[in-house]
Amino acid sequence: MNGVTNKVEIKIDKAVCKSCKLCIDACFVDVLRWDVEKAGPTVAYPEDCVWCLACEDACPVQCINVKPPSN
Amino acid sequence: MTDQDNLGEIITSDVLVIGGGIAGLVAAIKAKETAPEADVLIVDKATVGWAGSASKTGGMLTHVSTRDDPVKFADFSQEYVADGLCDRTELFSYIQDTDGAVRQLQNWGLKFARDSAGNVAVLPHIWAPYCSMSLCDIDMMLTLRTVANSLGVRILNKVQIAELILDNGVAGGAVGFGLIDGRYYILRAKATVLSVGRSSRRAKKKWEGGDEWMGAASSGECVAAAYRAGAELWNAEFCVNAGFRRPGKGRGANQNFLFNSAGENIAAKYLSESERKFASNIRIVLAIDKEVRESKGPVVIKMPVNAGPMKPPIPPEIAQNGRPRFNSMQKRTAEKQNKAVPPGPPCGEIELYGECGGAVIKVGHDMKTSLPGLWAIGDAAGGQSPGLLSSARNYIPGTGLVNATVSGLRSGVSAANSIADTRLPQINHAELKRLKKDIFAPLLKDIGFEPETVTIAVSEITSSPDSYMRRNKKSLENALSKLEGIKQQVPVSDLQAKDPHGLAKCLEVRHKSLFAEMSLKAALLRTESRGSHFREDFPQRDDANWLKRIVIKAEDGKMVLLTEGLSQ
Repeated sequence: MNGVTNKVEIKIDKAVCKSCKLCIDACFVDVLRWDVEKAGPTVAYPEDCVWCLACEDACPVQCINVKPPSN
Repeated sequence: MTDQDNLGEIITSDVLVIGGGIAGLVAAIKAKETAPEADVLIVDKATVGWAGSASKTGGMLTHVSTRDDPVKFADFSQEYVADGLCDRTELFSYIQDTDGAVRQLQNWGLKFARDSAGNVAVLPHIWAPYCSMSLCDIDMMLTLRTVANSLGVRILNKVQIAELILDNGVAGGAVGFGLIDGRYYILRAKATVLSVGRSSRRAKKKWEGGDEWMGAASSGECVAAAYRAGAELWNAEFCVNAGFRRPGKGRGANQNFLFNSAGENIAAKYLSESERKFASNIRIVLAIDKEVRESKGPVVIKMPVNAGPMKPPIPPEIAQNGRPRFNSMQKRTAEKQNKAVPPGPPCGEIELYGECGGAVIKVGHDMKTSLPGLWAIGDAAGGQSPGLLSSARNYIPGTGLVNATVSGLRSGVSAANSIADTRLPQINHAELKRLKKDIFAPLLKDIGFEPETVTIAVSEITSSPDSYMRRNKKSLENALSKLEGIKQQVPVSDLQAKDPHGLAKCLEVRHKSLFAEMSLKAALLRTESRGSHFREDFPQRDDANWLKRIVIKAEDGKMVLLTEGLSQ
């Protein structure tokens, strides 16, 4: 039985993002990808996020927020 | 380069390290230090520097320092962890290497927790006697990557390895595909080192399952590849993950505050003093199950508000001194966890969870596998020491990182020294074409199964208490029979993927039933109870007949199980 829902929301503040790609490097489950057209990170596979928060921690300008699941 | 048949991208190296976590980085660096002229390549499906489970959850290093007693720690490990089943000579050799391994990491520049005088803190271990622990920062992989880069180690990121390649029965590298570019990669090498994590537990969503969170991206796909290539595996019967949790709560709970309906303390009733003092997994699970089945349930946890943590805490002035990345992640995680799962003393009814399935690659002293040209290290070869403490009755935290380092160091030297007498493997174009067709098949299907379908179907069998906890001949035969049915109902040949990301997910489930079969068959063969393996019909440990390992290998496509005595 799960104590929390599986739904995850990953917000990237594009206005603050410096396009350094560190969040993509930090994501070990291939959730974040580089969007070539928009020249920025994109949340390609949100269903596979395991809430490790490595992307948040890697971001030098704190523009990513992995929203915690709710009970 | 691209080969003449346009099969894919061919990259050659002397030493190919598959998996760039702590073990893989250590192996690559050590190989390069041993043979500076060697061409060393690390391949990982994530990005080296952030890959591997330790970069998310690690930080503790268990070692036997000069002030500890290695003989007493060996005795303790042999009984408390391995439940008697370990090679004493190898265990002692490993223990003696642990302190040097931690010093090596310091010399490579890893940040460690320090005492007020600024020295690296070497603390008495809080989960086990006769050993010490040190604490490093969780950006250790970035530091090691810098060392690897400075030595000229090459790195190939975002490539998922699917199969090993053979040249006349010798491992000669691997093939896989790019997660971003979708290309077929053919990696030829004189020596191949597998550092691909464990086969039994992949990272789930944090706070979801209640059990300890694993930061591993591997589900054992490369361990399965090694088996298919001919490498022997072992310890499948001990690949059991079980525990207890409060329904609806994602936080662990203290085993010493569990009570049956008569108000009896479960730990006091069933566990030894050291198991109550340190940690226990399968023994407390069995005890809870027994109480419930004897109509003494439900088992509840009643933890007093002021009970304090189960273990004495690490002094914060040391734990937080010198580990900035660890501290920021701790703070971030605590804030989010408190929102996801409101804090408070755990009280209420508990439930059991568990699953079996997996195996460990069999290795010798220098981490060579039974397949020439192939080494296995880190969790892939056993997480608590190099393949030695097989039965996992209990677990000592902090052993994974040190095992990864010791095994990485040993394999790096051994692999580097092997390349002078080894030629690059020949390319078998027909075989490479066959592998490519097989690996990419899910992308060509218009209709088929989602990978999750296989996971759910196999888990129904492996997460049954009869499979992972209270095993007996009938229940295991039943489970194996059901597994055959699952293989027919959800054939992995019908897996479907839309893109390389989906293809990787297909690969991660293709071997689910293989590992389930290994665990169930080995559990059926081991007619005793030991470590994490419990047989209702053989409830006692049987040293007279079972001080031996069960080795599993593929022969002409069939799974063969053999027993092998310990070399004392």
